[in-house]
Amino acid sequence: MKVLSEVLLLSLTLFISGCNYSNGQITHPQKTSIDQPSNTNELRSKVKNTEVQPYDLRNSIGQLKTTDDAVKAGKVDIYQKDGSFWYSYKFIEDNGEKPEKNEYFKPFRYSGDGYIVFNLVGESKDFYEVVSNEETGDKKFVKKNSPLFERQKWEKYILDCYAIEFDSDSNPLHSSPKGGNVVELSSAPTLFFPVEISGDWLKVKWNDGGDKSKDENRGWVKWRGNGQMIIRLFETS
Amino acid sequence: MPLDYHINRTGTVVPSHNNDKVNNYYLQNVNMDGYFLLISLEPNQALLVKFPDRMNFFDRYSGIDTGGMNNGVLHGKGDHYLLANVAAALFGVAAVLKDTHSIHISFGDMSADNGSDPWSPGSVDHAGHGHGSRSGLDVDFRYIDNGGYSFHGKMNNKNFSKKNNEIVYQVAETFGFKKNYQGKMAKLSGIPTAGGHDDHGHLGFGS
Ligand SMILES: [Zn+2]
Repeated sequence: MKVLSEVLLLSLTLFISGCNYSNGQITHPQKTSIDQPSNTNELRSKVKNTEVQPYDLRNSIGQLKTTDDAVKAGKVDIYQKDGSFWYSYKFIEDNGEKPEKNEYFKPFRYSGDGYIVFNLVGESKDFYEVVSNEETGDKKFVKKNSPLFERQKWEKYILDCYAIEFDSDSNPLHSSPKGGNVVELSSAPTLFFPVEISGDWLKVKWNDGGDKSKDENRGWVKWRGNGQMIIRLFETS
Repeated sequence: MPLDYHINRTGTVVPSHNNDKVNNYYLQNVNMDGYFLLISLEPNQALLVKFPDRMNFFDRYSGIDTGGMNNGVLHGKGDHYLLANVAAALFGVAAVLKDTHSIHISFGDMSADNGSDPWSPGSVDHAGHGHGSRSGLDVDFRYIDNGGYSFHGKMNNKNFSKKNNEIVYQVAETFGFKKNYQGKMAKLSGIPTAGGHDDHGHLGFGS
C-alpha cells in the first residue's frame, strides 16, 4: 500500500501543481489564492490567472545588490557572523569559468553572469546581514565598506523590472491606490508594465490583448500585502 | 518536413523543402554571387533548432541555463533554441554585422530546448523567450562597444557605441526582428525602451 499511496500522493501533487507540459507546450496552472479581497462582492477582473509565490518581506529592510564594479572585480566575498571569511562568489569569466559550487549559497537572485541581489535583513556598524539561502533562510554577512555592493529599495527593483504578473482573483486591478473600482479588462492582456509605486500599491500599464496599437490602460494592483510581495517579477523581456 | 534556407544578405530568407532529416542553412557569400552550406541543424521534439554557441562571426555569453521548476513552469535545458526560420534570420544578421559592419556580436538567452523561457536557479525571469506566447522568437545580445565587439556592461558605459548598436537593430529589422527593445537609459534613436535592458538588447522576431 505504501507504493500505491506514494503514487496517489504524486498524482495529487501533480494535480495540485497543475503545470501541464506536452509537446513543448506549456500551459499555466490554476493558481492558489493568496489573500482574499475584503469585499467578496467585488467584481473580478478577467485577467488570466497567474501563479504567484508570495515572498516574505516582513523582516526585510531592503535589498543589497552588486554594483557594476563587482563584475570587474570578478568575485565578491561573503562573511560569517563572527566576521570570518565564508565564501567567494566568482562571476563567470568569458572563458567559461564557473563559480565554485556552493549548495548553501542561494540568494534572492544570482548569476555567474554578473549579479547578486540579496534580501537585506539587518545591519551592524561594519556589516550588512543578508539572506544567503532562500530555501533555508540562512543568513550571512557582507562588509559595509565594500564598493562591490549597494543598498536598494524593493520599490526600485520592481520599477526597474520589464513586467509583472499577479493573481487577479486575490489581488484584482483597481482604478486608484486607495482601492477604488475594480478594473474590468475587455480581453486578457499579455503583460503589465510597472509605472510607479505608492505605499503597497503599484501602478501598471497595459495594452488590451497585448496589442500596442490599442489604447494604453492604467490601473493599480497591490505589490505587497500582509508583509508579503504578492506579484511575480519579470526582470527582463 | 525539414527545409533548406537560402539566406540573402539583403535580409530575405528563402525556404525550400528538402529530403534530409535536417535543415540546411545556405548563406549568400560576401560577393553575393552564390551560396555556401553554413551549417545543418536538426529540429528537436519541440520543433526548435539549437543555435550554435559560436562560429567565426559570432559567439555567446554567460553560462548555459540548466532549467528546472520555477513558479509552476518547467523550464527546459539550455538557452539557445530557436524556430528554424528565426535561426536562419539570425545567421543572416550576424553575418551582415561581421562582414559589412565589422561588428562581432555575442548572443545570450533565446529559448530553452522545450520552448520555455530559459532559466537556472537564481536567475531573473523573462517575460518572453518562451514565457507566454513567444517561443523560439526572442534573442538577447550584449551591447556593442566602440571597437565593434559585444561587451559585458551597461548602456552608460563609456565604451558603449551608439552607432554600432543602432546598426545592430537596423540590420536585425531587415531580417524580420521588429519587436525590439533597448534599456530605459535610451541611448539609441528609434528603438522602443523597456525595463530590464540596460545591460543587453532584445531582438524579437515578427512584427
Ligand atoms: Zn530578451
